[in-house]
Amino acid sequence: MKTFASLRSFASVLFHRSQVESEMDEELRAHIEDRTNDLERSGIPRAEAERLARLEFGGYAKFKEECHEALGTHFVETLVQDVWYGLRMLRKSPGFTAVVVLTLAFGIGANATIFSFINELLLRPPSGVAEPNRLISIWNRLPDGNVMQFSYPDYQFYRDHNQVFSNLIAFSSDPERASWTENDQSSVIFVHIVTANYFSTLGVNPLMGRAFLPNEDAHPGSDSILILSYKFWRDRLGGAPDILGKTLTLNNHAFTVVGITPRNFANLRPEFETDAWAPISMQQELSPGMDLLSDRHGYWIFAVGRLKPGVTGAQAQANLNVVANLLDRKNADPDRKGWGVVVFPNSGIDPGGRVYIVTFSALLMVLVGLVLLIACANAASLLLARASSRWREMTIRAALGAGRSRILRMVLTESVLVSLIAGGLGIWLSIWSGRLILMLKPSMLSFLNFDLPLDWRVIWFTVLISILTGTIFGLAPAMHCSKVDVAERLKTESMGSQQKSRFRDSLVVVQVAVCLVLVIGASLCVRSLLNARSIDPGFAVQNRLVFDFDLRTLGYTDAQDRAFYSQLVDRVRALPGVRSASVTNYLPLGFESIGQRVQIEGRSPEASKWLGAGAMSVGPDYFETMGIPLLLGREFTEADNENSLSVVIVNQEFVRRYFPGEDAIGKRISTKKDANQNPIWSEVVGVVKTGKYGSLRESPQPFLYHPFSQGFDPRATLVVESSGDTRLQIPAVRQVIQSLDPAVLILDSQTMNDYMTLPLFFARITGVLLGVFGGLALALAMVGLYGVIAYSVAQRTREVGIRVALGANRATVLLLVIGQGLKLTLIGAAIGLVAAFVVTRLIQSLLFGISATDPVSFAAATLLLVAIACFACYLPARSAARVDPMIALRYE
Amino acid sequence: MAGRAQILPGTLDLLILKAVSLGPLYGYGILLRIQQISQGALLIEQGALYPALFRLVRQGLLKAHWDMSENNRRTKFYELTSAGQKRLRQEKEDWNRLVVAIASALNAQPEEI
Repeated sequence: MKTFASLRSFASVLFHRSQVESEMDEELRAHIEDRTNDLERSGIPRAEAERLARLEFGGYAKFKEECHEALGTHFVETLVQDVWYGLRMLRKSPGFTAVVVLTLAFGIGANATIFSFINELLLRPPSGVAEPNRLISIWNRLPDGNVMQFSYPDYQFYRDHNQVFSNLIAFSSDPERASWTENDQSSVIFVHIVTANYFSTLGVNPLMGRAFLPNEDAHPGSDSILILSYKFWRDRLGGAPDILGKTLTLNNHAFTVVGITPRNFANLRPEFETDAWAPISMQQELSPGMDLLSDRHGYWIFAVGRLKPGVTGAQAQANLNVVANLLDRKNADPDRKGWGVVVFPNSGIDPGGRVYIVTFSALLMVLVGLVLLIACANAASLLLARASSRWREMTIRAALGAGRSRILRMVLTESVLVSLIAGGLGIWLSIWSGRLILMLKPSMLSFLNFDLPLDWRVIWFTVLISILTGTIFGLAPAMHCSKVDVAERLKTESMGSQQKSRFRDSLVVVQVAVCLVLVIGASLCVRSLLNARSIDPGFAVQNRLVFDFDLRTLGYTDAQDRAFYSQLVDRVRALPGVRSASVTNYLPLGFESIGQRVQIEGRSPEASKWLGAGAMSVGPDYFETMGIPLLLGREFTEADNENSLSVVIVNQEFVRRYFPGEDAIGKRISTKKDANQNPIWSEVVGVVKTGKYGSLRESPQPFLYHPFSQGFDPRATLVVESSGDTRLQIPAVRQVIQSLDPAVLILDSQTMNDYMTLPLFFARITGVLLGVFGGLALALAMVGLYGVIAYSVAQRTREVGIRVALGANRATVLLLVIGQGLKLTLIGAAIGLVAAFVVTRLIQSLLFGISATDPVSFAAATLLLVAIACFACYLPARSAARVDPMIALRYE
Repeated sequence: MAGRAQILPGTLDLLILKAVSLGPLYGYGILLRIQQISQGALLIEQGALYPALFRLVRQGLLKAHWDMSENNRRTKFYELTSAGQKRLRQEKEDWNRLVVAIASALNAQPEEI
């Protein structure tokens, strides 16, 4: 109660400052006036009475001050005073301010950048959704603890049997890529298929038109309607006001537009670009070839429920456990033994990805934390150096009666002020560096929708770490400053305190240690990046073009699909500048991979039970086009088609594992069975060199290739080898494609070099981030190290003078000074090496072809740092040794 | 100024509470009332009165309001709150105990030991 009352008076005083001030004056003056009148009445002349009244009152200003203190307004007042004073001091030494602010701004900026990514990926609730914290996502829990999406029948069961959600919605995990045909041109459109209750559950009211009606997802194929995103409507349809009721042709199927989402609604999976939403009942029209709605083993559904009022997450979990048991009993499916259900706070990212992101961002946070620590150490040492020049000022303040806490507060206010300015600059830096980092995103991931809006979470974070930073780097110098023994100080006026130099020494040690850890980490990552670039993927990267197709959207027959690809390859081959062209059902190192079980003729089924290999279907001349060396036998030809003998080509690793010491050509293997469970045998007709298939890091994997027409897939990739500037060939190839069928959807067209940015993405992003932060840390530490050493040498100018005056050799003095700097550096380096040994293990899994304890990186980084330290010692030591002893002695 | 005693530290609050308990007063009036009830025996540094008043208000022992004084000037009046009354009673008892104790200590005779 009392605290509340005093809080209230404090607040009212804060907000009515000037009123309080004038009332206080009015009251005190009235007192003096009353007293004057009384004295006058007792016979003293007016002027004299007034003088006496004032005298009796005592120190007017002092009592007013005490009144403020009694009211509790004192704190604010002195804070304002300190801030003004601090600003004045900072303006007075702009060079110092600039250096400290810049140093801290880099440190804080790095933290703000990483935090804004974390904010975007993990913290920010979906935009434009009502009460997002009442949304819960639910998943199948597998017996091994992993989670799995729902099948549509799973979803329906949970929707109908739970008692905790007011609504449960379902949507496909990723938006579908559909072909949007307009004026004989096709382009990609991302359509998210969702249940009809999607928008109403999320509380999203369309900007125009309407949301889906409750029954508009009930009958497969019957509700050809779309709700468009604001962005798509504005950018691709020119914001046409009469869009409602118009139709868009998607996958040769007409959809009617019924609504436009509001501008601020991204999606429940905001990281995916989404152009439109369609009822889930249109699944077959939008992803042809699969009937997922009735498939109990197709796990593709994200399910998100809105909790009924008053229901907690734990209650939801308990109720859903019951439903999971019901479902288990109903299915009685041996494949799903032990499956449960698990709830998570809703987030667009699946729990597995979340764990990965949390780990990765924690690592980055540690990294930028270290950078900030270095920046703090720098700022502290600069401040300490300056503290000695302000020694006098502090002493005088103390002599005039300023208490220790008062001085402490003043100095701290100043350092926090500096770090807040740095924080402002840091936010600005983080906006730019965030954009730069986003530019590393491979073009293949262009469907990922990712931006870094500056929201209050990022701002609060930055303000908080700024204040923390200011306190950390200001505290030690402030404590030091405020420890004032007036008498002692006024007498000697020099500091030379043992403690201070010890503090400065430990700053150097810490700085060297932290910096070494970062530089070692950075050099490992940069070298790993270089390694990853030089890893041979097993195919040629230069002068190649790739085009991705999905013919399923055209509604062709199988024969039409096949004819399309053979015509396409023929026509592209005929283009000038094209050396060769071929097709494959997918490219190595992409998102896809297919594994097959292999049986070898003449060996018992038992012996080949565990044989397996990666598999691909490729057209004639694929190996030549991809630059994959053919070691034995022949390539596929036009003659290897669906009617001819089944043949395969295998890689070297396949031969090494399954036909050791034998000639593989002419052997027969099987990957398929006919209707009677008898193996269909294929003859090995060629052996090619082993490459990389799943990832650049993998060990050699057995692999086999089927002829494209014997393992046909309407989704395929055209590979073109050309001479000259390959990029210039893209329009020509596109033209050929359009001439075959204007409705064909080209999902991607790019050079192989661009394609390779995807497998290199993680190596690149860690390489760049660590490289940049390591470089930043190195630069900061260099500046700091130089500053600290130079300052401590400068402090010893007098000592050096005396030594030289007493006959010491200049070289001896030089060695002495350098030796002391070096000693600290070596102690720091030793600590840093041990720490790096531990820390770099954390990034082992991100490195390519280099050990986390690579001695070369460790040695090089240590040498570099020691060299910098030597340099930082040498320059100031030299100038100290050059000082004329007479000047040095007179110096103080 | 002979015959006047400096007040003991901490007793100013008590005196103010007592003065105000006799009826709402403005600042200068409190001073006069204290002089009057102490028969002019106590010396108060006049300015020191105000920080004490502000403190008592903040502690909720006094409440203040602006009103017209008898000579028609806007004046800030102080009066006792119920918490202030309680505090005054408490402090008075404490003070009396202290006075008795100190007095008996000072009046101690050798034979009493």
